[in-house]
Amino acid sequence: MNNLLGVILMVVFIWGILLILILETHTGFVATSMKMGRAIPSPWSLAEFIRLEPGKRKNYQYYSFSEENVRSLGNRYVGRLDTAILHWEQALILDLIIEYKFPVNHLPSKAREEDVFQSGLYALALQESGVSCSSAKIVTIYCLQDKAKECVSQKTAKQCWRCNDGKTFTTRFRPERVKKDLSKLDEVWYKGRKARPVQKPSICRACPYSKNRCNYSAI
Amino acid sequence: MRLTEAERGLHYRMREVTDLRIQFLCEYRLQLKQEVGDIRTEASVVGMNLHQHVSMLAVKQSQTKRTNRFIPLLIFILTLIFGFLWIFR
Repeated sequence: MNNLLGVILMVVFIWGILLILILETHTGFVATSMKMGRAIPSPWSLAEFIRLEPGKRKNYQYYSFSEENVRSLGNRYVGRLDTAILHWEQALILDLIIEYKFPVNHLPSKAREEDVFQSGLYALALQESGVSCSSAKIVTIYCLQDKAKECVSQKTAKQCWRCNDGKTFTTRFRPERVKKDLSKLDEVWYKGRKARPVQKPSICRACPYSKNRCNYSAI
Repeated sequence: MRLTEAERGLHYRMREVTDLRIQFLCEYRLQLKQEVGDIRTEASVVGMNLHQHVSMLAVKQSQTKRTNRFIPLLIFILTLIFGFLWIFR
């Protein structure tokens, strides 16, 4: 009986320590979903937040930024991200880049490469602005259009942005891979290489030019 | 999401992330887009509208939520008590 009580106390104690590690920002073990849930909307724009004096941001507080414009002067591109979550911890840290995708018919079984690349470009632009991205993750949320429309039209307290019927994929931000992919695309923009057609049925099916205008269409 | 001309301002000569995404998918598709112009399908228009609605809802809902700051403290105290009982009982 005494042994059983000892085991129960030990299990509760270990679970408690694990919970503290997951809940506390300072420990660095906070789960992605926890970061999304605990982030508060930033009172500043992303550009203002980056330029703020260190004392004005709350330490270890996750701030979320929605529909923010980012630009990379080094790689010459601009874009608008869906959501980014950052916090201040002696330096500006990018935690998550969240991108929503609304497919019409079916949800993918893994994050699509082009979507991860798109989010990677946003993270790369932030890295260029002085934000640390060493622990940044890319979250891609796929939600079927019909489900999303239903949720938005209900206007209830349901968290449509989490899209419970959808699929969420989390991948690490790999700046070297994004730069490598971008440099291939740069060859067409700046080095005069001819654009190559992909000719894959799955890609051509979703292409609006494939039926009448593309000579290389695979469908 | 795509930026308008006004939003791009001085950076109108810079590339769009959405264009780079298209090019990543199929380089020739971007070339056709530049030659023929943007063709918007019904699915892409619905997708764009959903983006705006979902982002707005996300901001509204995160503004209304309240995080209970005492839960981590409670877990910490309970963990200490159970740890103490386990070691010194």
